[in-house]
Amino acid sequence: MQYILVFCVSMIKKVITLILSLIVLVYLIFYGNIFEFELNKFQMSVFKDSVIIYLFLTGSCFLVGEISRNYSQVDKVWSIAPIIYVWFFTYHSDYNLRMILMSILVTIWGIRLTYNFSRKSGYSIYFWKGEEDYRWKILKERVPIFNIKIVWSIFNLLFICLYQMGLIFLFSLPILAAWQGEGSAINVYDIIYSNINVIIYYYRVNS
Amino acid sequence: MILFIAILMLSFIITESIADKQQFEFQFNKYKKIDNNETLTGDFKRGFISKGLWSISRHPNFISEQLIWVTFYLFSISATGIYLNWSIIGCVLLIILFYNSANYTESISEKKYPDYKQYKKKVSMFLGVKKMNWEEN
Repeated sequence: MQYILVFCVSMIKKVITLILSLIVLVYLIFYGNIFEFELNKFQMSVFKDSVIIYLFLTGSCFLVGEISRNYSQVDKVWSIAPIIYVWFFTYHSDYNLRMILMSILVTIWGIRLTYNFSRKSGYSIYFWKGEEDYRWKILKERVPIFNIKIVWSIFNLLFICLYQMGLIFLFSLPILAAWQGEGSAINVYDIIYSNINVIIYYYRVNS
Repeated sequence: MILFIAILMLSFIITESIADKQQFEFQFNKYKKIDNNETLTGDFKRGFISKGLWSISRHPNFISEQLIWVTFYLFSISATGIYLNWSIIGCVLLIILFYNSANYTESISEKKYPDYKQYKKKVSMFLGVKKMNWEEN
């Protein structure tokens, strides 16, 4: 009995720590002065749209999971969402070469993982069905509090959906940083180019 | 530089697919043998796979996945010139999550398979540096 209690507390602590670590890191990026998160106006509007895609996918996973009582909806989207994100950014960058290469690699990764998940019968022609992760059931057995419907729904919303989908969104974002860097790289070249022009002009005027 | 990163990422995708293939074929054959009432030997008797990539790492698929997204982050370094830029957050969180979920999965495996503790002693969780490789027996 005591063992179960200790296990429950440590499990809940872990889940809360994971969610908190995401919130703290996201906060540091947007409101801390550690990193430079400076996007131009257009990139910012594209980024905001990508957050809407994230929220839409997360909401869908939560609702389908709650209605069907199959809590492996995020697993079905896991290998597909990054493909959507990276091509969304690449399209808006007017097909930047580096971003195309990054997107192709993510697509290869995603197709491979989707194939692997379908091979394990993760998908079904009824989109809400499919094999559920065996570990959710065991988690419910080990942490009895999760058998209370509302507690499980909160866990589903915060951890299974918002946290996991957030993680997927965040590990796709180096493509946005690459786009951001490309802008400053062009600026650097622009500066060099304009300097060369000035030098040539100066040279011509004086000769 | 970009080409080097791309090849690196591709090689981790290949490693991951080999690990998944070995695991899938093992599970498939295990249940086939159980259904046919065949006598189980080696890994089939143990219940879990410990051969191939799974003899070097207890989670070769997880470590590949982590390395894929770390490599993906390298692209942002090559574009910005900033080694520690904000987009590192994704792969850091992924490493933390996979470490925790591997621990959880292992706590289940230990209960299911008596030999799993021995396997844990011999084979390291992600990358085999200190520990010796799993000996077949």
